[in-house]
Order: sequence, then structure tokens, then C-alpha cells
Amino acid sequence: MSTMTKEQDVKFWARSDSNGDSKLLLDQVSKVYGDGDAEVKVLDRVSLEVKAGEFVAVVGPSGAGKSTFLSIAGALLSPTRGRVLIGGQDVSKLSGSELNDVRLAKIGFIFQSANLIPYLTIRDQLLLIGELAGKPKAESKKKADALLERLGLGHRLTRYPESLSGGERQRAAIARAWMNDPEIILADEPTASLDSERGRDVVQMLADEVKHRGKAAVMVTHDQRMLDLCDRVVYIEDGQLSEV
Amino acid sequence: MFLALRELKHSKTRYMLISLIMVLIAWLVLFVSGLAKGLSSDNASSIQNMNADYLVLDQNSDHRLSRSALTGDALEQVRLAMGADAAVNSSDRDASDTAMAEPLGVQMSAVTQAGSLKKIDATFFAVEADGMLAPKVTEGRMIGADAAEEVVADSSFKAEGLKLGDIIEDQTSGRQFTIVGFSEGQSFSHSPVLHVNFAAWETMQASGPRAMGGSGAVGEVSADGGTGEVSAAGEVSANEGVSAAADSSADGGATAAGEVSATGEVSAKEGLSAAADSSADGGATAAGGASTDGAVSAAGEVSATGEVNGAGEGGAGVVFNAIAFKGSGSTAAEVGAQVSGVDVISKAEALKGIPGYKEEQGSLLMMIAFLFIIAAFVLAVFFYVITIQKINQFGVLKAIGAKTGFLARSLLAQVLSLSVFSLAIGIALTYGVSAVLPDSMPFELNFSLVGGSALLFLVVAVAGSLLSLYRVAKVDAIEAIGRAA
Ligand SMILES: Nc1ncnc2c1ncn2[C@@H]1O[C@H](COP(=O)(O)OP(=O)(O)O)[C@@H](O)[C@H]1O
Ligand SMILES: [Mg+2]
Repeated sequence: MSTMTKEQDVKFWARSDSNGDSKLLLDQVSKVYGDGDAEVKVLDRVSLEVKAGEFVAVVGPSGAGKSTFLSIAGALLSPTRGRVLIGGQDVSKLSGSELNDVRLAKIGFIFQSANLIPYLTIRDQLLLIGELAGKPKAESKKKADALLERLGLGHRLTRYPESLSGGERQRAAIARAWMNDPEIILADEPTASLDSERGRDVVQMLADEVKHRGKAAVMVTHDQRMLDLCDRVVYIEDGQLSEV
Repeated sequence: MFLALRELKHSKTRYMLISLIMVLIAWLVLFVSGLAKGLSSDNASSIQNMNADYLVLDQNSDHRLSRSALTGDALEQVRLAMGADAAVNSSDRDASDTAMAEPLGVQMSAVTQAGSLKKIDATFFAVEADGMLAPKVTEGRMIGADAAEEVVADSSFKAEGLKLGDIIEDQTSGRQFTIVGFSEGQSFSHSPVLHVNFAAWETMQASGPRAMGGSGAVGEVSADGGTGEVSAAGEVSANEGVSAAADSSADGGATAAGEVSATGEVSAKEGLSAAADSSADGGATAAGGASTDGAVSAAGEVSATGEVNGAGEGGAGVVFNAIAFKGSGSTAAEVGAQVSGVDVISKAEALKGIPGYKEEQGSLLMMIAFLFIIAAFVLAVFFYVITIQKINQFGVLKAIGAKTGFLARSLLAQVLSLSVFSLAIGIALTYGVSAVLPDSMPFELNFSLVGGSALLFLVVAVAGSLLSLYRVAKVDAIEAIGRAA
């Protein structure tokens, strides 16, 4: 064992971890925007581990790098340095198309707003995920209907996003995020466009789902009143991440 | 397709509007194509339908059938060049053996029905009655091999009230012919074709004011002489239906002078005797002035070149315009190389040499090309604008795992379904309109033309969407995340 290289060590560790409970691991991640003189270091050797069943909130001032952090965790953005493991798989060195597959298979996104496709009915929003993953239609349909039912949208299946309230839209987005059975849900200010009561409902639902499925979630938020629904709160400022 | 059709369904108005524009363009494309095709065959179906591959023309004819003059010598040389062994005794040659190359006489003229004054433009084609150039007779019978008084007329003469057995009179030569049959799809320079045999052709030439040509040829040959003046005289002669002689002088020194009957029309009815005296710069002069009963008599030979004149006078055979033959490109090259003083051109080139053909087709083709370009631009701009509007949406789709290929297929599916839909309506509209068009409007649509245009339309549509495809490919999934909000 003493001859084991660092690489092998990581692999061994990652494999053992994937059937364990680490859903997301960011290890010494740095992100630098721009190059040369205009370099901006947004994240500086940030590390975070999220375990199964955990719901983590990320807070911090505007422009601190919360969205950047979430994008890296969600395989939307490659880190400048450091490793990212999603469900035990190292995604730091993957190509654009491979990252696509990782997102499709392991990650559910909930964005600020306007994240539903305007010309798809609520049910079709979910069926699209099945379509992308090449799952059988009947199976997707059963799953979509069950999810929407759970999230209180059973009577809205054939409506378009434009005719739903903001809260209903975000719940539909949550349902869509769960559609592919992801390892982890990433939400970037999901309550920004909602009043606090609706916002709380939506976050509550997210928290319940995380517990119910034994998966993990990371949510960026501005709203202090949501923090009690989360298991952990991390704070980002000046490129550094700290537990609160 | 999952996204494509749902979006089309959801944004009906937007996509209906763009299809409407595409329907109109497709309709216009097909309509103009049909018109071009119709005009093309209305103009030159006799050449298009001709059972030959190549035409041999006089080298100085500028590839124009009506300007060309060839003799039996040239025909024999062509046959020799083609390796026809029986060329020696061309008088009793076996058709199947050497009918590969045949003479063709072309004379644009005007005819009247006997007893009527109404003139009808027509073009005489002299062919061997049993040869490959003989038209397909759809009614009546073919002209006899030696009958000098028979014609097979294009069926459009029927619209002028002519029928089998009617007698028509050639206004240039004054000869009369009996219609023994009708053919279909035989026109030349927008005038219907009258097929005669060479026996008739000889009599026409003998009694015509000119050894070769006719009204058309007067203009053409004179033009070679170098003056427009003469050409004008020729037209007068044709229009009046009188054998009028022109007073002309070409800068080469050629002159043609004669008496013009001041009362042309009257004289014509009574039988006019006119004389032409012309001299060409080759020094050859031929003058004639024989009067025959009841017919215009004017003989004369004008030629820009002594060569042709000599042939005509030498009695080596009649003068005709072209030699048509069937064969491959290599045969054509062989003939071109071995026979001096001639050009070998394909039927397509011969079409261009028909007065007005090239110009007509050229402008229509230009319109069609522009329509296709417009279609490409309209589509390109429309889809580009829509794509730009949806950049954020494409970002979301990529973030949730849609690959560029999936989105590109979706976009192409939209473009193609819109195009196919628009084309279908455009085609239906075109056929609908062609059904109510009057017969006098030349319009022709066939399956391959519609299919070809439709295919090109689809290609153009896809080309127009390339810019949007590029834009979609460039979208980054990160667009989905609101930055520094
Ligand atoms: N693509 C980019 N290029 C350059 N700078 C960027 C880019 N994206 C974000 N930034 C900068 O990085 C910093 C952090 O941005 P972001 O992660 O969106 O902050 P937050 O979400 O915490 O408000 C900001 O100063 C922002 O201007
Ligand atoms: Mg942000």
C-alpha cells in the first residue's frame, strides 16, 4: 500500500465513497476568471463535502462567487484548479459532452426563474428529461405524474408555465429536477421571485424530498428566513468558504 | 422532434406567418419555373423533341439555325466522317444503314389558308419523310416521300381553324400545300412548325425570292452583308407577302436591287412578277425574273459568300440549314474535326440559337435564382432572430443535459417541417392556378420539375438555418445560471 500513487488512492477512495454517503465533494477548488492583467480570483482553494440526506445552504454577499461555486459543483463550469467529485465520479477532466451526460444522469437543477421551457406543458417539462435520457415513454410518464402529484401539481399537468403562479412554477422545476433521480440537487436562489411564504413552501418541499430520497441538495439563497430548513449553512466571501 | 413540434404547436401564429411567406415564395418559384418550362417548349419544342443529338451548322452561322446554309457535299462529308460506308450512293441508301445523319431545312415564314387573307406565322421544316427527323403524326398521315405539295402541321394550327385536307399557301414562295397530318409539340421560335419533304423544299427555294432563306433568311443573310437596311427590306417583303426586291447596299459592296411593286398586295393577288438583281461581294450575281401563272415569281440568289451561291447554282443539291445526327460526343468531335467549314453543336446549344430563346430563359432563370436566394435569407433571418431570443432557454436545456445534437436536430426538424408544409401548399396552389390558366398561356409543370424545385427549396431552407445552428452550438450551459444577481 505504501507504493500506491496519489491517483490510485483517489480512485480507491472515490469508489468506496460512491456507495457510501458522499454525494458531492469539492476538493481545493479555485476559480479564476479572465486572464493576464484582468484576472479575478473568485474562489480560492475551497473545499466542501455534502453527504446523503444533507441540505446545505450557501449564503454570502452579491458577487461573492456563490453562483460560480454552484456552477462548478453542477459541472456547468470547470474549475481552474482542484477536483470535483459528483456521486464519486471525478468530473474535473471531462469534455463538454461528457459533462452533459453527467448533468443529465446525476444532477438536478433549479434556477432562479424562467427556467421552464415556455412551450412545454408541465408534464412535458418532465417528460423531456426522460426523452433526453432515452427512457421508455410509459415509464417516464408514470414517474412524472407521481412526482407532480407529490408536489401538489396533479391538477396542472397539461398547463403551460405562463398560466401557473410563481410558486407552482418553482415546484414544477423541483419536480423536473428530481425526474432523473439525481445524486444531488443544485438550486440557485430558487425563492428569489417568490414572496416569503411561497418561498418557504418551496424550500420546505425541497428539504422534504431530500430527506425522503436520501439524496443531497445545495441551495444558494439570500433569504435568511430559509436557513432553519437547512442542515448546514456555509458562507462565501473573498473567495473563502466557511461553515456558519 | 419532441421539442420541435411542441414549439410549432405552441407558437402557431409566429410560425404560421413564416410559413405563409414560404408558401408564397414556393408558389412563385414553382409558377415561374412552370412558366419558363412552358415558354421554353412553346418556343422551341421542335428542337427539344427532335430525334437527334447534334446539329451541324455552317461555320459562319453564329450557331443560328436560320443563318446556316449547307449543301449535299457537307452532308456526305459528315456521313463519311461518321463512318457511314454507303455514303457513296446517297440516292438509294438504306435508311437503317446511314440515316444517322440527315439534312434539315428551316425557313421561317407566314402562311395563309387558301382563300383567306389572315396570315399565320409558321416555320417550315424540311425533313426526309421516312427519316429520323420526321415528326410523330398524331392525326392523318405522314407526308409522302416525294409529294411536293404536302405538309404535316403542328396541332396548334387547329386553333386557327385549319383541318386535314385544307390548303395553305406559303407567303414567301407562294407555294400551296395540303395538310395531310397533324403533329404535336412542334414549334420553333414561338411559331408552329410545318413539316415538308425535300421535294417541296426544292420547289419553295426555286420559286422563292432567294435561293435560301425566305423572309427570315433575307434579314439574316443581308445582315451578313453588313447593313440593317436590307434587313428591313426583307421584312417588308415577308409582311406584304409579295416578292419584293430590295434596294440595298452592303458596305462590302454587295448590292441587291430590284423593282418593288408599289401596290404589293394587289400585285400579289394577281400574280406578281418581280425581279431581283443582287450582287454580293463575292462577285457572284444571280438575277431572275420569270413569270409563271398565278404565282409570284421572283428568282434570285443573294448570298454573302460566293461559296454558298456556287453550291446553289451548281445544282449539286438543295441548300438546307443543318445536318442532324445521332451519336456520342466523340462522334461529334470527329465530325467537327473532319468536315471543314462547319460547327457541330448540341441540341442545347442549338436552342440558344433560336431567336429569343436564350433571353427568355435567361430572365426567368434569373428570377428563379433570386427567389431561392430570398427564400434562404428570409428563413435565415427568421430563425436567427428566434434563436437569439431563446439563447437563455437553450442554456437551460443544455444545463439539464440536452446535447447540441439534440437541439440541432430539433431546429432542423422545425425548418424542414415548415418547409415541407409550405411546399405542399405551394405545389397545390401552383397546380390549382395552372388548371385555371387559359390555354394560350404557356405553362408546363412536370413531376421532375416540381420535385427538383422542391428539393432545391429544402436544401436552401437548411442552408438558411445553418447560422442559427452555429449559434445554438455556441450556447453554453452556464447561461442558465443568473450571474452576480
Ligand atoms: N464569466 C465570467 N467572467 C468574468 N467574471 C465573472 C464571470 N462570471 C462571474 N464573474 C465575476 O465573478 C464574481 C462572482 O460572480 P457570481 O458567482 O455570479 O456571484 P454571486 O452569485 O455570488 O453573486 C463576480 O464579481 C462576477 O462579476
Ligand atoms: Mg448569483
